[in-house]
Amino acid sequence: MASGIVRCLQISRRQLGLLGSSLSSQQRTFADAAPEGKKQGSPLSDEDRVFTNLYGRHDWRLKGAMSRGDWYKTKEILDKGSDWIINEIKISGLRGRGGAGFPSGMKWSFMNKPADGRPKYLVINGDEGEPGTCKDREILRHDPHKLVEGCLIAGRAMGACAAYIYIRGEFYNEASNMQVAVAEAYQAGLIGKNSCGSGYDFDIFIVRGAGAYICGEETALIESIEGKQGKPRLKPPFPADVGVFGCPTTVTNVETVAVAPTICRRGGAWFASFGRPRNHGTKLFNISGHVNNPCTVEEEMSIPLRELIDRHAGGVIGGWDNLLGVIPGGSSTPVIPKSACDTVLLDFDDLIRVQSSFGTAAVIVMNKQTDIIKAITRLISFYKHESCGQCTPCREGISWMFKILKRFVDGNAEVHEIDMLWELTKQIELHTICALADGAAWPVQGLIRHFRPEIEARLKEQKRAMSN
Amino acid sequence: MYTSSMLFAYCTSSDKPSDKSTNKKLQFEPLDMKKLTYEYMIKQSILDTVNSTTQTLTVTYMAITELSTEYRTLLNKLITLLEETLMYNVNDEHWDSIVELRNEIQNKKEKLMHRDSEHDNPNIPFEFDEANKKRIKAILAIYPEGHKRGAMIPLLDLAQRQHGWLPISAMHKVAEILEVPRMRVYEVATFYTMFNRKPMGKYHVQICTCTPCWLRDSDAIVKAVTAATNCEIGGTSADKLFTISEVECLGACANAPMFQVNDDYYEDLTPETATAVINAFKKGERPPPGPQNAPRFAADPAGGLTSLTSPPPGPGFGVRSDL
Repeated sequence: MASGIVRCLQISRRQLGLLGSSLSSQQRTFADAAPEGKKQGSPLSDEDRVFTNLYGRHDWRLKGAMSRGDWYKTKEILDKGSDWIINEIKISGLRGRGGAGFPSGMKWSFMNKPADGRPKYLVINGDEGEPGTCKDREILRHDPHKLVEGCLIAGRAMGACAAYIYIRGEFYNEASNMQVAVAEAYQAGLIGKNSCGSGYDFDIFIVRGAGAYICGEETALIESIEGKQGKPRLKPPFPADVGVFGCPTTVTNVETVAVAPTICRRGGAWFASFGRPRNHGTKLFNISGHVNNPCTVEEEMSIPLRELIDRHAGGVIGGWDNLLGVIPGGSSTPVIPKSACDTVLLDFDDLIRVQSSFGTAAVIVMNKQTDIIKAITRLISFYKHESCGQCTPCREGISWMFKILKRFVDGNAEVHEIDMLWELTKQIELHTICALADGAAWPVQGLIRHFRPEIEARLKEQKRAMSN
Repeated sequence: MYTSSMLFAYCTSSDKPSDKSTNKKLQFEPLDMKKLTYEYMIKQSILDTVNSTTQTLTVTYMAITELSTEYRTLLNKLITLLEETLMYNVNDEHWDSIVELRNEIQNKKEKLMHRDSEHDNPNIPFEFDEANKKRIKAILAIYPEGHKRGAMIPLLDLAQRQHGWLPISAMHKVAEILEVPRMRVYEVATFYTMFNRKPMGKYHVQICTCTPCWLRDSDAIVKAVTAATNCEIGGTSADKLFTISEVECLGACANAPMFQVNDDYYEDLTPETATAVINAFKKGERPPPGPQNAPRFAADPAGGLTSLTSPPPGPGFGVRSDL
């Protein structure tokens, strides 16, 4: 699940929306205000890809990883010190890959406070469970050493003494690969006491979850590591002050950390040369649903959606004109209709422009043969199942949404109930401790925003059938 | 559920502000330092505790009432059905629905509480075996001093792996090792979906039916698996070989539809390959996990590679000069 800061994005979106309406009729985004740069992304060349063993065609163990350039000059990077590493990450413009898109350099620098005697921890969020998202799995099983090295470098930047890698319980084989990689790194002296000969002590531990989507929220993840129910904590205090075991903690996504070593080696400026301003870098895209060849692929940020689908996924089943809509960033992002899909670029700002969100870049494609109401209802049943039950708007509200939507699927409802559902989503959103409820409300909002005629038609159809 | 929150509102209505005071509530009063005596603060915290306890109790109470209402409705249905059997000459379908109802009633009962049974009660001893004891030692070592409790999930997982499912005596054993109250273990064991507190089949088949899999026709996979194992969703087959469950996203969406058997993912399924995988398990084999539509290896495009076609660059490629 996207980390809790997703909400920051939402708030900034609202503020920007306000700003935009007061300035001009067009909605303004970060990219508009940003300095001139690339207008859109183009296909990457193989030598610019970070995850060179994405498909597992090569050896994932230490020897293979080193032959692909991992662990190269890691000591020199560590010797440069934490300010240098954080500065490189800042230059690269890397934004968190877990869904919220918070600038990583800034997040890491929050940890660089004077020590108060408590140890600091780095926690890696590998609790990947958002429908549509399957990018971390490829890193965990095929490129585990990128993550191990990333932990060391990120840990050095923050002054952390240890990293906990939290992997979702179902990923048993992926967690074993990761465990093997960590053991290899210990044996080779790359981590542990005097890591890489730099004089810096750093431990990495693997923790497996037990099947709860909510543990992808950073504070819930911390609770889960502590051996409690995965129920998000109220913030503040933020994890950077009081995190795992009561110590300062930073929780970051697997992909964010795994690209850090390559950024440090090839330079922040190299990474920043991809993508539009404020949306820099390369990114793993998951393409699932109604495409001819679903796949996971690394591409440049700001690549047009259509080009991504046509180039890598073999196009939409039945052709581009058979496209109904796309969920662009995992289940919590609102669906966008075909008219928006024609031109939209896959990055944080352009997806905000079309009233959706970049999320984890998990593109779920639906063609015209899809029952879109049923598809969204299935997502809501997912959220209903995964709600931790702490906050009433989420626990009760999502159940109501599900009940209403289920009647929509059968056409057994009144038209005015669509407005009722809309109002309900507005009551759920932003009224809970964590962003799970927001993530449940947004797909429904997307459905009503773009597919209201379909719902109304179904309700009328059913009425007619009943009266006959 | 709606009634539950309504009642909830009534229960906490003692300090419900009237219309006038609602406006006042919005204006933050400046903090009066004199008011912040120990007594005042203790009083406030007691009030808070009582309030939240009431809330918890109400929610629990409502959940129980709701369940009992459902239970009663089911019983009434069963009675009607049985009466019909006495009055009319009923067909097999009728008996089928009676059996189904009985199962549902049983499930409701189990939901209400843990019930001691022959195979699951606190008197059955549970002990970790030697290999697992070593593992426990290693697991406990990764948690800092005073935070042994963090090992709860890994330990419960170990117990489940050893026993096949998680009996209550195993939970007690974990509580004993971690030196925490038993309730803390029950909390965790009931929260996470991977802990099975009922006996399971040898192979736990978890079929993903979330939207990305559903779009690729996971319904057909469910049908194929239930037919091949002769067992319904949520049930265990008669030969105790398979337990089938429908689960939420398993995080292999680019390889949809898929299911998980114990720890392995079987991806890119069709009804035919799904049946083949199940049949192989029936014969006692372990079919190779991963995509079932060779030559696809992982999450690469099935139509041939569109990226990473050249050999990966070696160490030092593109590295900045000042490093």
